Amino acid sequence: MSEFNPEDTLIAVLAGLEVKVAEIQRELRRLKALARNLEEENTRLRAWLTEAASEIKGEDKLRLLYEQGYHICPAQFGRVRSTEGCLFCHSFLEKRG
Amino acid sequence: MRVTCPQPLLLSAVQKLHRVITTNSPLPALTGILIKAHDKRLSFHATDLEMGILLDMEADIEEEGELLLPARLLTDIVRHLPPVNVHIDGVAGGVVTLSYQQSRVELYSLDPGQFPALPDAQGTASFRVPAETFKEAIKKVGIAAGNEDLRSIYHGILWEIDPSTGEFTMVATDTHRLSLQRGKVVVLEGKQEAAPIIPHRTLAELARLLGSEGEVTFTLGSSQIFAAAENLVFYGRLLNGQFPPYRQVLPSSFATEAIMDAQEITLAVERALVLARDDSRLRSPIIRLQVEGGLKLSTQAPEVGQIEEELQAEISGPGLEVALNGKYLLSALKVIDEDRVILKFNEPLKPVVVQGLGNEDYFCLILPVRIG
Repeated sequence: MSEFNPEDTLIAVLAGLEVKVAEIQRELRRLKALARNLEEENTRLRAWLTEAASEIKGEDKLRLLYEQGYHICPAQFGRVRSTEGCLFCHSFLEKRG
Repeated sequence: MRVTCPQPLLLSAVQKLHRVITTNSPLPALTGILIKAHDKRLSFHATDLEMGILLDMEADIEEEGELLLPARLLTDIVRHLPPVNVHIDGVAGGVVTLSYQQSRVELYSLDPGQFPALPDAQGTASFRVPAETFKEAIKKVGIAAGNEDLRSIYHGILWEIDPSTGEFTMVATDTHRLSLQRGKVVVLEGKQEAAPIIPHRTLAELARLLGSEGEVTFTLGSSQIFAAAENLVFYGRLLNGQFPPYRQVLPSSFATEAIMDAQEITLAVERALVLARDDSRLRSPIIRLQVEGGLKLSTQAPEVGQIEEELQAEISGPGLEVALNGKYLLSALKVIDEDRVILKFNEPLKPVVVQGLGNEDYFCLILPVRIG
């Protein structure tokens, strides 16, 4: 029977931690890439929405966009809004109406 | 550094600083309080880089110097010391001894060289406000500041200063509601209009530190605002970005007005909120206000019950019914000091104004919600 060596245990624990840290770093890299892609996609979609809105002639379509849950006020155009209304979108619609 | 300071004063100083200190900062120096002894004064400085506090007090200084001590540990130890003189003795980066009566505690000092320097309070505009005016304004305007994203413009308070009239306007909005307070300042420097946007958390922290007496002098820098009052210097980072054009959403006239006792409606809304369960679709406790002869306030909570209250109110204009987020209405009512309150309406889906009767300097605007 071999003698108990505390250093072996410590090294084993550290090696285990090293593996876990490496896994966390890999996951972090993956999430960072995902966040970057989502940000790029969001920018593209907002640009698309802005372009689409400039082609919208009637107030009804902007209202529809607002009621579908998007901001139509210039400050936050195209961003998803909460279920409660937005004072600025409301005022924007009123002015166009 | 060698100084002697009464425990109650020491405790008061470290407790005031404690709230800006981050416990898990990547910069170890930010977890500490920088204590400096110079010119017969003892100063305490803490910052989380978003804002900073510098407190100053008289102390018995035997040897000038500076120490950076871990904030949490220092506060906990000082809190448990007896209310006697505490003698602080130590060298930067070394062991610091806190002696009291026949006892002593030893703490390891952090490196004060790593602590951020106090920003230079240079600015293009400077103005003075009574502390009480500032505290009241923050309390009233802050209710409408958003709190989801602390770096967002909607978490900020727009503070417009007009040097030509000596007037200020403070505005906050989370897009569902908006609160606005007007007041007077004494302009000390600067002729251009200023309109910084300052995080609500920063201004609320400053308001907490100020007493109700005296005045606060503000200096506006390009990226920071500085405040000085008695033995306090405070600084905070400004928010970048453009505040939404709030004037566009302020109604210029109203079709219907209802005047009532402020306490009566506040208590009625509180009762209704006890019952109003969050609507799963709107995620808000909805309160209906029916204006017709008087004011009927009601809320329905499916599977729970309903409440209906009739309040005495002086009504002018045509009747209507609006639905509001009850929490927004209550927060506006709670910051109104007047005995009577006025609610101003146009149409069921147009913004409602909540205001103290006769007080034209403050109001809260709430956008009603659409109900089925």
